[in-house]
Amino acid sequence: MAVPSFSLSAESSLNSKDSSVENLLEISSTMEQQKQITGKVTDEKGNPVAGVTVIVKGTTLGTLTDGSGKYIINNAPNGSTLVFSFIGMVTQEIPAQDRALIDVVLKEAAVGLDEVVVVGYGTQKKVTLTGSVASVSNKEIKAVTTVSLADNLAGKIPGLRVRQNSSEPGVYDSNIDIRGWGSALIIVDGVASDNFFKIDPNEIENISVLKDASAAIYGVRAANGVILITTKKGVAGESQITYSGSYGVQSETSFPRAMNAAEHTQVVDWAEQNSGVPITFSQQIIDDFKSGKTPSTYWRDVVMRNSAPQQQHNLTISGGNEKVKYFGSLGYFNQQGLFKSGDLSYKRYNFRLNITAQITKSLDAEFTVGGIADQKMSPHYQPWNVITDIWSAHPYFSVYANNNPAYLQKMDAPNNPVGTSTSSLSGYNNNTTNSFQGNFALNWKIPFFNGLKARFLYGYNLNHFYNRGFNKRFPSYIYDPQKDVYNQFWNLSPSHMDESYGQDTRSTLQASLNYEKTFNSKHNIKGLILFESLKTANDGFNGSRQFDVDAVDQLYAGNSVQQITSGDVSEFSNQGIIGRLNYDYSSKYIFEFSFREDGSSKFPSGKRWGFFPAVSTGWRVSEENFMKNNLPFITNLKLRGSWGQMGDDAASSFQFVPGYYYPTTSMFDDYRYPQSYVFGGSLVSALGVIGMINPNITWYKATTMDFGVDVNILHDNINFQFDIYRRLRTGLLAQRLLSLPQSVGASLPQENLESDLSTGVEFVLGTTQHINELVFGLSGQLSFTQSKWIKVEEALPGNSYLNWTNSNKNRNKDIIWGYKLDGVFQTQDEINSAPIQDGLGNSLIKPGDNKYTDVNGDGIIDGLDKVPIATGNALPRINYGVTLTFAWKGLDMNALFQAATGFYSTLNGMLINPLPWSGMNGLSQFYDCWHQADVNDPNSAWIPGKYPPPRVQGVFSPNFESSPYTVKDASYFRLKSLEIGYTLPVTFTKKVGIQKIRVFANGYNLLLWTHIPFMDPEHPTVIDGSTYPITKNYNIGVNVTF
Amino acid sequence: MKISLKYISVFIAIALFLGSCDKKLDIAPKNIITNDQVFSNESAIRAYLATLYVNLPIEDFNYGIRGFNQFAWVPVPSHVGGEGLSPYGGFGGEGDGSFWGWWQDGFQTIRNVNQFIQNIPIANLAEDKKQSYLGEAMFIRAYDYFGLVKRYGGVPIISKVQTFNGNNLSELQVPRDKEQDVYDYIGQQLDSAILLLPETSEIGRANKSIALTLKSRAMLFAGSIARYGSVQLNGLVGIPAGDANKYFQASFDAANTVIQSGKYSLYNAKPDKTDNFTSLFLETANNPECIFVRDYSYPANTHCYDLFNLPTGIMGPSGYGSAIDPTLEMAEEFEYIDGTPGALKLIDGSGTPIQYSDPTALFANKDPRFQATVVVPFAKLKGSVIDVQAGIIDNETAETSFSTIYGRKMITVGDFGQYYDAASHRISPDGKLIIIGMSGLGGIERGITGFYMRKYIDPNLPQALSYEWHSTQSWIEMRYAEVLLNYAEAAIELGEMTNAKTAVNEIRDRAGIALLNDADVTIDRIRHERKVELAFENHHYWDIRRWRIADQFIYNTTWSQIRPYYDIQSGNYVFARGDAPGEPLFFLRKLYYEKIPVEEIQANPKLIQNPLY
Repeated sequence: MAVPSFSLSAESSLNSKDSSVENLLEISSTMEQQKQITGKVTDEKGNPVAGVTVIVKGTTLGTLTDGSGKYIINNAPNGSTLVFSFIGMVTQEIPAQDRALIDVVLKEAAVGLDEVVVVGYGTQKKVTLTGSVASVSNKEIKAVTTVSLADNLAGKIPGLRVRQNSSEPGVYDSNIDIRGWGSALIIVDGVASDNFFKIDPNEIENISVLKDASAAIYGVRAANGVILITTKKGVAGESQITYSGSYGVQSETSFPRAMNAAEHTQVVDWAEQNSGVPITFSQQIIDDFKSGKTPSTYWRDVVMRNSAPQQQHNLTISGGNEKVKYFGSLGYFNQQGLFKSGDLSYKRYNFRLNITAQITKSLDAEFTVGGIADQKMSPHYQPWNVITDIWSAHPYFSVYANNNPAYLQKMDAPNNPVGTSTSSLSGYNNNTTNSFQGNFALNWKIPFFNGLKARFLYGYNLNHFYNRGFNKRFPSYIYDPQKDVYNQFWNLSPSHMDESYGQDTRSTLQASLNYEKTFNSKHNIKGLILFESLKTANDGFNGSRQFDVDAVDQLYAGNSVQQITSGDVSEFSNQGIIGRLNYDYSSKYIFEFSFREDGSSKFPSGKRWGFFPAVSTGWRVSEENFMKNNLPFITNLKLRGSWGQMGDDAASSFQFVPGYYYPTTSMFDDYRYPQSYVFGGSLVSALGVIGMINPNITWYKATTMDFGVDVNILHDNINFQFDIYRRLRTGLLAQRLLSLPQSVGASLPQENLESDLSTGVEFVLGTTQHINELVFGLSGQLSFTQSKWIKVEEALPGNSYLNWTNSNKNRNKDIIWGYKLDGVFQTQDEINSAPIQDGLGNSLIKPGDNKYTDVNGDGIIDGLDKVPIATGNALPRINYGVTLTFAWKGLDMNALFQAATGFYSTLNGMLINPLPWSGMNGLSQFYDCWHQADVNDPNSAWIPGKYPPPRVQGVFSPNFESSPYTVKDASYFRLKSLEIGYTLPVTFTKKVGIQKIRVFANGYNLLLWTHIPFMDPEHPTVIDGSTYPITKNYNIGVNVTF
Repeated sequence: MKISLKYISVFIAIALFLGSCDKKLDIAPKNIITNDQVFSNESAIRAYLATLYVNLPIEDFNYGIRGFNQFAWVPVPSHVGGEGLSPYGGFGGEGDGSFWGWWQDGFQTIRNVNQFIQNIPIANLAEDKKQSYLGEAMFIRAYDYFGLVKRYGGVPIISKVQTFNGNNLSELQVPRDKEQDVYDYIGQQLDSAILLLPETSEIGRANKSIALTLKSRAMLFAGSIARYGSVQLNGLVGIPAGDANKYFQASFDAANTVIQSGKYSLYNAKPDKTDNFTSLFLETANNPECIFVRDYSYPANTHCYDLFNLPTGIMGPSGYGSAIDPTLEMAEEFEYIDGTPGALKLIDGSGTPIQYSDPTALFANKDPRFQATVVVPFAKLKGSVIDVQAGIIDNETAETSFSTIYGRKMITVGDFGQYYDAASHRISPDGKLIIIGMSGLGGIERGITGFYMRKYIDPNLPQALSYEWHSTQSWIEMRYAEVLLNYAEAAIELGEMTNAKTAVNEIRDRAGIALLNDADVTIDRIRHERKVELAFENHHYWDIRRWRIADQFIYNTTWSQIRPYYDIQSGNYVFARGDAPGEPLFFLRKLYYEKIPVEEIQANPKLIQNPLY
């Protein structure tokens, strides 16, 4: 339980069995005999509780308690039952019988202690849980509107690190990991899945994150932790239909401005002066741009709009009786992109139908079926590329040649962004995926053997994807005033289409026996034995043709001579035998042991089976009498520890198989081309000779240890959780350094050689307070992680200095090396007397350039002066979040602050170069740079600026080195989400036959505090920062329960 | 109880079914075939052969700064030799000795051919076919070693597949053989190949003549190194001077055998000499001059020559262009038709610029090969005039900022998007005169010399298809003209002037320029002819290395560009010589041999590094 959460009274009763509205006909027949009921509601200490919902069960009749806890219900039918509910308290139902006065004492709900947590291949009571497992419930996930489940979880789960790289529709461009490790195994309803990001939060009952040895039960796939998702199941009772929908707008969190034509031409001149080459633009040209006499184009506004809409809708239906229960859900998400062309968009449809049926008294069956269909539409020219072009396009070009809208202006480079961002001009990229997951399970309570259950499960996943990319050539023009003609040029020629189809399938078969029994009402025993078999097959095919005539955008209309086909097929299998034993003594002393004997087809026979054990133990100190007697307010204090081993089979790609790749994809490296040869006019595909193999290759092994403390004071008044952990990985794949001479002609294969260690801590601290009608919650969580090499294959250093600089052994992995910065040079004299940093007596250094520190004092700035200048290379060491909730009468509010610190990002490309790529346009901040007063006078005075003096392409500039100038503290603190809701009074909504209406407004990525002023700190290092931006969203919506 | 027993047995059956299956984990990868599968099937053997051929060190269109079979946007070979310049980076004569590095890839290629040769005995082939495949593999091995020896000097000769068993590291650390021994090994491999190979072969595969041509080329290298180089490191580099004639004779004999076979002749299909020399490189099918041709085939096997080399004004849709810009020096290497030296007539005797009303008249009467090799300013290519204009001369300009040329005021600002108004004498968007040509010089245009490549450019490839990996014109790796030039050079080195003259005049006659007299037959004229005839075919740089003249030829050298100006007052064009951008270049003596990779020296302590590194 990561973050306490609160819901409104009406919703809190949704899942209880007796919450449904009774037969309305019956109600009307009893309406004749009515009376008044009054009373007072207090808590356990005798304080009145205001705002308690009091409803006559099965009717729309009800009220709220006033400030002194009192209520009056008029016209209550005879024989009715009153339902008292309040946030954070146990709902009570009291039959009125003949009483006119009913006083009620509400007990605080012991949140967390009676909860059940989903763990690997089963569930566990939270009180007896010994592993480090975090879980979040549906309500916490639903409190924000994001298309990606990963972004939804940011800041909510201690130890779950989420980095959003961009908000490009349909890309799901976020990194998610547990404790800073690699990609986690995702399990949905007991079966591995690849669609984590796309699951509709409305379908999710809860999410568990297994962070320590509790993951070891997943064996060879579990080294990076496991995320378990459980979808909702039906509840017996009256059918319930719920609609929720929202509409919102998105806009960039931050977006650097490109230079206008006056700034650009001026910076070009300064750069040329600084580089000693002739000046291109006369002062008159610059002045004309400045005055607006010659127009200048701001490409961002030409191509992008200020906001783009998004909307989501979801309809769920659930219900059933004791025999058959069902849950169904239908969801829709539509996200538009920020391009004015409207050609960047995303649509997603989710459905789910979960049915549980009791077949006989001892046998029941579960069917869970879920599907996701989505479609991403995008210009063929990649959106990040369009963004780059928006920045780098020369502002002195007009959008249209001779300002005639029939003729798009031909530019030098890049292509005209209007052309590349518009599908009708330059083509499109449409990605469609259809995913299906279906599980069938049988549960059988074995008769005559009390406590023994058997379970059989078959699961089938199918991911089908279809991508269609149409690259359409489009014309642009240069106007020739001499002849009054528009000279035509083709861009992105030739037109071609790429289509790819593929499908991934996975079958999962599980058979298990489960035993659970309590002896002498003190010894609780649970046992599990399970066999699992997985088979994964991937099959893909793609084809491409070029077009002579591109009017018909179908593959078959292309030129068959110029066609390419290729494909990719793979198949893997895993087999596992799993066992687990749980024992606890009165829920006080807890012990768990589990193992998995796991085999993977990715390794050679004899190296493919592994044994993965785990043990964990817990002591609930609060159950001891000395605690109960002396510190009764500590309702829960648990110490727990775990140890386990797991593996990872993802890395190996058949490095034990000798022979030849056919057809070869790459003999030496990836970018080499071609891989075929023409014999007598016909093409012969080459084969790839596999050099040496490693017949002993196997998975790496991860050993985790975790120690934790859970504390609850006065139930959930205060809760505290602390974990400290380490994970040691051994047998990481690496090439043995004992290098063979290259003259052997083959290199050694990878072996299981290296090891690393990651360590970290996690805290959670939360409180829930009831102050009259106000319920208030505050919860903070913080996690710290770091990782270092223990054993690494590296050359023996020649001396201790090299050992210091080059050896990574026992060194954190995320260190950034660079020069120390001693400000910037102010004067030529300062340059002349400074250590040499250009190799040419500082003749190439100008005032305003970075002044690097001569660390070793040898008078020369070179690689020997580089020292560690930062840690946390692009990925944060520390992540934390604060959740603030409150509810007052019908109002509710949930705010999540999310932050990361302890990391630095290296700026590159356009983020440091004012004139990137041979004098393209750059960002306007660089206009504020050091320059000389007169571009024609080499002796004119230097005018200081915020940025160093620019140079033209190819001329030495000292400023792009790794130093505090380019390596920036990327810490940030953001208001990640804020939701405010209002539930209409029940008395009102019941009149219109609706159980509940809640309206809400929420926002995502609302506020941002960072040291990097011009860029969202979560993504500056991706593609030189020119990714599609991260957006902030504002949404309004409604939840209706019928 | 009956029912429960049934259920229990079903569960146990499932459990056993799942639990017992190690076999279920035996899933073979879908993209790997075994050695036996390869050598039992001739199609698979051909696929192996394709691997060997595609990795031959042929310096074709895909050879650039990153090595063989690459996206070669920086075409280093012609650049470093001073034939042309690249606007994509300063890769001058100066270097760190790793430009041409082919150590690791070279030995990997050799391992592959060794493995092929070792498997031929088990191949499912008729005996005569085995012999012919063996000959082909030996040709390939010789070619691979020639690729190594011309870069590094002596290298370890490894003719068997080496395996590492965990503790035979020192056995795998093979010392360098002498440079002479490597050349002798190449000669011996080729002699065997010549015996085993067929007279003719399908295009792209070796035959007797191809092996002979390679032998004449390799032995010419060995002869030059013996004569002009010096023996160092006990012969790891260098060849004793006394052996020079032995190698020249071997080169001469091999070339002579090809000539005497009568199978080849110089291409002479077109009456117009410039047309003829242009077509030679584009009409490679049934071309009597082609000996060894590497064909390309769209889409899997292509190159980017047109993409890289079209002039900016007509460059392909994805940019690039102008990758090799011939230098003014190279342009002037081409003689006039009458055999006089090729200096361009920019100024008259008094230093006054010559006015040309037709700017292409500057290049009249040059060697017909010149405009088949180089696109000159205002020449036509693909139906467009290649606009090369560096500025406007207007002595009455109203602009306040101007430079001067030949003492007159000159406007050179901006790029092709900017215009000059002759009436107001100002730069103005309303003007009608271009200042900078679409193909330069100046502004955002990429060409840096005023000249562009013509040789091998495909005039029929639509501009819209001058695109990444869309060119398929064949690369002529060996042509008869080279055999004649090898023959002529070996002959003159052996003192056989008559043979040299005959061969070189055959070349000049086909070119359409004056023949050499006996008195003209000098080593310099033969070398000059080789430079012009084989320009931009990636011979020249290796030639100046083996002749050991590169360090004098490229010493504090800045190459030149031609700058055409339109003179408003006269309405004519004038031309000036200018420095092409870039720092002065030096060719250091150590660069006669590449540096052996440092990590290789560390991995193999028996290796000795080349001199001066």
